[in-house]
Amino acid sequence: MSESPERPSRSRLVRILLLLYPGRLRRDYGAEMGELIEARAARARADGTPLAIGRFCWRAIRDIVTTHTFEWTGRRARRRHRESRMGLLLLDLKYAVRRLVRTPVFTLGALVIMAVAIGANTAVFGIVNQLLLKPPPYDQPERVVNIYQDSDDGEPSSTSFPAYRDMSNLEGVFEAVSATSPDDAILDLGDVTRTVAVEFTTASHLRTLGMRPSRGRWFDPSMDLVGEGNYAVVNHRTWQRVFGSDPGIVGQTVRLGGQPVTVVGVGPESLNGVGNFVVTDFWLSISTTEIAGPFRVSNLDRREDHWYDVRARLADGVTLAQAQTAMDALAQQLAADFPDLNEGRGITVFRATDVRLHPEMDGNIASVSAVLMFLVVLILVLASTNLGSLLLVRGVARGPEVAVRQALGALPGRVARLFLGEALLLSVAGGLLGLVLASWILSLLSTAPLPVPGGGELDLGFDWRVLGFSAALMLGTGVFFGLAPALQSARTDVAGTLREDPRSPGGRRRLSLVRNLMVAAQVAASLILVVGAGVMVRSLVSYQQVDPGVDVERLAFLQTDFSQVGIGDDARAPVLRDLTERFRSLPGVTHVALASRLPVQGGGTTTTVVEDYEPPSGTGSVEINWAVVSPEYFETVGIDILDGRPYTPEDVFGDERIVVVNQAAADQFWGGQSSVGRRIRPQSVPDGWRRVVGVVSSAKIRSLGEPPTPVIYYLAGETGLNAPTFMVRAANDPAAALPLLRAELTAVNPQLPLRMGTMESHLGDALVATRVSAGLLGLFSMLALCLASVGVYTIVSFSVAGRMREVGIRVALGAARGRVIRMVVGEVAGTVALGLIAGGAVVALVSPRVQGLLFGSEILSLGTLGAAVLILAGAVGLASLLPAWRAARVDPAIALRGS
Amino acid sequence: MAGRSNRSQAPLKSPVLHILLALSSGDRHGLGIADDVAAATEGAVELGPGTLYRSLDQMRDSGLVERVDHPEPSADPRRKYYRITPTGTRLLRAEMMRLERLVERARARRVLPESP
Repeated sequence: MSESPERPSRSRLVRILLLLYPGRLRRDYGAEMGELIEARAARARADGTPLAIGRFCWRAIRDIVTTHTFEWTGRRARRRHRESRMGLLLLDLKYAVRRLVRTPVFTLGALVIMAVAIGANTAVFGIVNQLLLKPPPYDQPERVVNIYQDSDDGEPSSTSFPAYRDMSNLEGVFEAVSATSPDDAILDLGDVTRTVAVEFTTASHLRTLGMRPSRGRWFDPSMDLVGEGNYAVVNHRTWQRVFGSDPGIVGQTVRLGGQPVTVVGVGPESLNGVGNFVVTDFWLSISTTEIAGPFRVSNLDRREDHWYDVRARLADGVTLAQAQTAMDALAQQLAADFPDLNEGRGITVFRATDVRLHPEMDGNIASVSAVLMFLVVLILVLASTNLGSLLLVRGVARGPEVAVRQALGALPGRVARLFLGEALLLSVAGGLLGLVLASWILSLLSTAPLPVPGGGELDLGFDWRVLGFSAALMLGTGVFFGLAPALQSARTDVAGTLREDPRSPGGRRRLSLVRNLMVAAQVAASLILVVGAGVMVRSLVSYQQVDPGVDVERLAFLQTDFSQVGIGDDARAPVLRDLTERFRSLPGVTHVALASRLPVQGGGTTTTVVEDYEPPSGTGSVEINWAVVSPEYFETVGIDILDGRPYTPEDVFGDERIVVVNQAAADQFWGGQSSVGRRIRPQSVPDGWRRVVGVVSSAKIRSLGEPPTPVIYYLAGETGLNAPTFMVRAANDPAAALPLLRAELTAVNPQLPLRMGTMESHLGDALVATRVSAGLLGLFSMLALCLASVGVYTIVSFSVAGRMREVGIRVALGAARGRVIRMVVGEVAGTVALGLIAGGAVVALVSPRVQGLLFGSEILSLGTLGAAVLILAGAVGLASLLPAWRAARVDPAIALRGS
Repeated sequence: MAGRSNRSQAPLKSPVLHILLALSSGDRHGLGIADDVAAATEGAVELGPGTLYRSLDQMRDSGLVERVDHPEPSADPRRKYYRITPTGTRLLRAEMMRLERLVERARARRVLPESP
């Protein structure tokens, strides 16, 4: 240190002074501060006077002390602020919990209401999400397209297997093309058998979707040929549930449809079957088609059978429009090659992301989803307005407490937070319960077989969309029904409330407006639900009044499937004869007949050419429902012969090609003129004309709601049916015959699958969807009625309680009791009327949209609406009469004392 | 936030006002601010290092001033320069108008002599 000897001492002084400052400041600004201190010290030294040096020292000390003071107070204030905020929040929460626990009835009721409302919303949204919102799990889904050949009506329908082959042979348009066709089969697990959903699938399917099996492999192209062996890929979900995630599943043999099938792999985890929400338990290779019977094998080569859903992956750079152009060209080619079958039949390409289930059905799914969502949102509105008005009343009852808090210095915001916290606590806790409820409902729904032919289960569950939706509901409803009491509490008139001055509850007018609106909303929502329930009940009644066209009371049926146990065409006739004889000889059985389908069970249509009839489609042919029946069928099920004759046993062995049609067919095709002697033929067989020998009365064929529908009854040949339905007519109770029928079937072959029941139970099953919706809506509307009544009761009671003194004066001055009651009830009557009008308006707005989904009654029939209005007005009238009556009986002396 | 609006209406703390005034004529480093304040007040106000840098620190937090690069290449690279932000300017102007109104009131009540 050869510099000036003073330098280090100055630096030391600076260092010492710096050390006295708070560390934080020193770290950030140390160098600059040192410079400033040095400059000041230098100036003081330059001055040299003791005064200057003393002033420097004094100022330095003062600066250090004030800096420390400010640093310390600043930090403490910040920390205290933070701590107090956390503490207050916790305190608020504790307080809210304590208050809720102290009123267990209210709390439990509110929790149940919220749980039901949010649970129902979450469950329905979970379904809607799966049906409509969830994107397909494919790789680059925008490149996957669905291709449909038109039906005879010119609408995109489904595709024949030969047409699929044509599509996959096109060069340069598609990277891969696949075809799938759903069916069901019986899975034999040794001790139990169960019906499973299967899909016959080409080897190209997974490549088309851009997915990989999660275990094992997918089918080889060689497995697209019949006779190359039976192979299956098991659905990931089925693998978990039915096979317990058995790691050794690949290579195992399962028995499907009575045949051994080798499992080659487990499907991708996220892939299901139809629409990707119906679970396909097994994908079966095309080579496995034989297990479903010879008809399925033969239609692999038949251009008139459109049984397959075709998907394709667009080749690199190919647009949807280019694919459509290629398909248009193919359609023209097919029309030229097969004019009988494909003249005017278009082929349409859809982006897979634009199709949920099928272009024809998506609209229906969307409307049903919209109606369901609408209903559950109504319930949510009802529940949250109800809780809102209850909390509002509770809030007013807490007026004195709030006033004391505010008088003691609580800010209005903090008091409001208390109320909001209570509401949020209720909605979140209720919502969490609702989530449990929803997951239970969804798991119940996803294990229940679908009420459609082919069965299958739905894959339903939560994903982030459902959870997000439900969280938004919880917070939204909590804020919604907490806001009104919170705002009102913040407006409390402190002085007035503390004086216990009944004339000055703060903001009472504004408050009663909110309250009245809430009651009106409840009434409106309840009205809509009650109308909905009424409509469903009427719908159900009209369904039950429908004459199915068969003798319901004495019919039983038994369905089995020979192909499932390997009874082939040759072996079938003797088994059928044996069974028919056994059934016929049972005590109490009068008639036995065979058919290919049950009345009201759906089934196939066939493309038919009708002589002397030009169908509106312009294709020259028409799709007609058909059934194959034995000669005894009409008499057995109670279908009347209107013209000509029924089939006779001799016809079975005869050579003449004859047919029986129903009255609806005769009316539609030949306009009521004599139909006997006219001819029809399958479109695919140009010389296959059949002569009509009889016309029978029209029975319902697909659903009870259908209009009279043309049906062709073909005669069952000698070899009979592969999957026959035995129609059994009993002398008395058909249910008594069921165990006997079962015993006979088991005696012939214990392996034969069996579905049986009475006609009555079958028709009941056909109504299950209507029955369930009527039941649900009935339940909802009962709940709505209760909620609305409780809401009105609470509000009227509260309003009466606030006016006891006035009522007392009136009664003391001689007002008649009836007048007091009228006054109290009259106050709420306007609100209720407003709600009824609003609800009626919504019904009028919505009804045209749901009309098509219902059967029978006009939804806006004045009768239904009037009955709903009466029921609702009665319920809320009663709810308001009760407190009014109590008010009128009040002893004026007590009321005036103000207690 | 309530705190924010309260602050904008309350009088500024003396060091903050002096620092904003000093920076209103251009960017300065800490020492420059201290010198400017001392010069402008003829030594009556001398900002101590703790007061100065603690204030600067707070003012940076609340967005009244910001640190900037050296305005000239010749400037000492170790020194950090401060610049008044538009918020700072607005606040300074508001405070000055408040003081002006105060002074006018004082004149009207003859606490101060009438302005020439």
